[in-house]
Amino acid sequence: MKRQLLALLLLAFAAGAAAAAEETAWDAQRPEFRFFTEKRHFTQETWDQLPAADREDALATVRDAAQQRQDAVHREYETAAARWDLQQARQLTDRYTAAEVRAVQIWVGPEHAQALGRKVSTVRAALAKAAGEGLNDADAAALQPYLQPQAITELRSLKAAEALRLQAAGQFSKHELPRKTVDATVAGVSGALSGDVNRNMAKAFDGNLAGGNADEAATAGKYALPKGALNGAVAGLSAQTGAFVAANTAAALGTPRTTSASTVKSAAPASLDEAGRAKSTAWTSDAYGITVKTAYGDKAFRDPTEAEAYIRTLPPSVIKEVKLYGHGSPGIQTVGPASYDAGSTAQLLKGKMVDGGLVQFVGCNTASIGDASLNPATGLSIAARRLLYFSVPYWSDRINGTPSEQAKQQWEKEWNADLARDTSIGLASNNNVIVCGYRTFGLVPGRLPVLTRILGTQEDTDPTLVIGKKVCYQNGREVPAP
Amino acid sequence: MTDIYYLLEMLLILAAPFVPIAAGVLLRRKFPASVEPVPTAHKLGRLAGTLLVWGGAASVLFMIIVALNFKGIL
Repeated sequence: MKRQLLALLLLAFAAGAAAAAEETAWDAQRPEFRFFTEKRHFTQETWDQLPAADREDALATVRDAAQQRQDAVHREYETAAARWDLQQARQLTDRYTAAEVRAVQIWVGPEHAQALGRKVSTVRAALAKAAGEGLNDADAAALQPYLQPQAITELRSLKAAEALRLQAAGQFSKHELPRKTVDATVAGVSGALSGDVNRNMAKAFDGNLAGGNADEAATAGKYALPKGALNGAVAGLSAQTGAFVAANTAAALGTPRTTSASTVKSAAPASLDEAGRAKSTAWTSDAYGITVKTAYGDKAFRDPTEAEAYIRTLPPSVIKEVKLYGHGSPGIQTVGPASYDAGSTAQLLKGKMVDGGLVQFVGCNTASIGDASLNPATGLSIAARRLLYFSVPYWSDRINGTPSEQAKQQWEKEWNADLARDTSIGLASNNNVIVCGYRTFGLVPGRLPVLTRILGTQEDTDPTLVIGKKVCYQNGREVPAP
Repeated sequence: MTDIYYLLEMLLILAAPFVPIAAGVLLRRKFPASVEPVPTAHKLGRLAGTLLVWGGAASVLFMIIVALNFKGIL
């Protein structure tokens, strides 16, 4: 009798184990796995190598987020698949970058993504052509499946309107400068200014003040745009895009992950040499850096590209701790001219961390706000975060004509992003790495204006003390700080 | 409707740091310094008012610093 009972029990366990394995097996159709694929957290291969318990944890962690993402992509795709008016044509061709089309491919289907990609490229080309040489009948016919008839008519009238505008402005050909001269001048000016514009766009979202040394700053001054014009440009851009501009727009403009620097201090900061030369003489701090602690010793870098190169040369499983110090905003940590999101950080550190290694984001708001707190400072930080990363971009979008639902979805998602948790999920298959960030704004005494100059801490690569609410995650689950 | 909701939310957030200041001022008026002799409860009420006023002022200052930092001025 006992043997029979034992056999039955074993059979039940085996069936249970098989069912559990079935539940966590890679299924490309389930939202959680689509989510992993989009965020590049796992591939089927890396998933299969993950222990069963970690799989369940990872699935549970992203379940809600995956469902929300699925709903959002489907909802947005409905708009994208319909015929657009002219405003939508402009907005959606900007919005559907390669990454967004990839999201449609993952969540909706490859054939839909292909059709959308075709639509976006056709409309984008038509928008450019409409303002230049104008659209002909063939162009208009090609746009019919994609745009509303009214939008096509408006596009066709753009060239005539532009010609009238130029005529009214008195730009007749006999007054025009030679084309070569104009091209050369514009190329020179835009080349000199584009870096500033990029950095200032980013600065509007992450508040990064990092600047260069005094000599370079002085020469950069002559290229600076008038402050009013810059503020206007930055404000306009903020309306269109948002916190992710720091990473995405700069990358789209050909300078991947660049950010920071004020109007005057426009040059990229020089690395510190051993004698401590090339230090900033600014009254405010531009301290930032990456510290890498390995079995071979500790190394601190001012230049993030040098740090990245160093990390890439390291053998697997040697990094005990990485500290990324700079400005933070929901979902993004900047370190001087570079910025890191969950994907790029996980990609950089994958396979390099020791068991239980620590990744520390030292920047404001690099984790979500978390549960309610009785601490008034935490409440104040949450209020400030909501204002800066939701209210400000939401109202900018609304002023620029973005529908309220669209602006709401965009910023409700962005303002409480959790960089630390997302990175820990990205590193989930990598030796139980612990990733820490700050739920609040962090006050760093060594960064206080004026004091920072007296103390000589403008270009520190380590903050020594951060007053803020820290949180740590391991494989996507909150754990005590080590 | 969405706009009204978010407008109200923004106004409430902006007003939040001023609430302790107002409460502090009320407490300090309720427990003026001129009373002699000063009972302990009176002292405590006045101290709470002072703390609220300065806590609120610090909150406003904090919000301003954060906003300036966000805009890249600090």
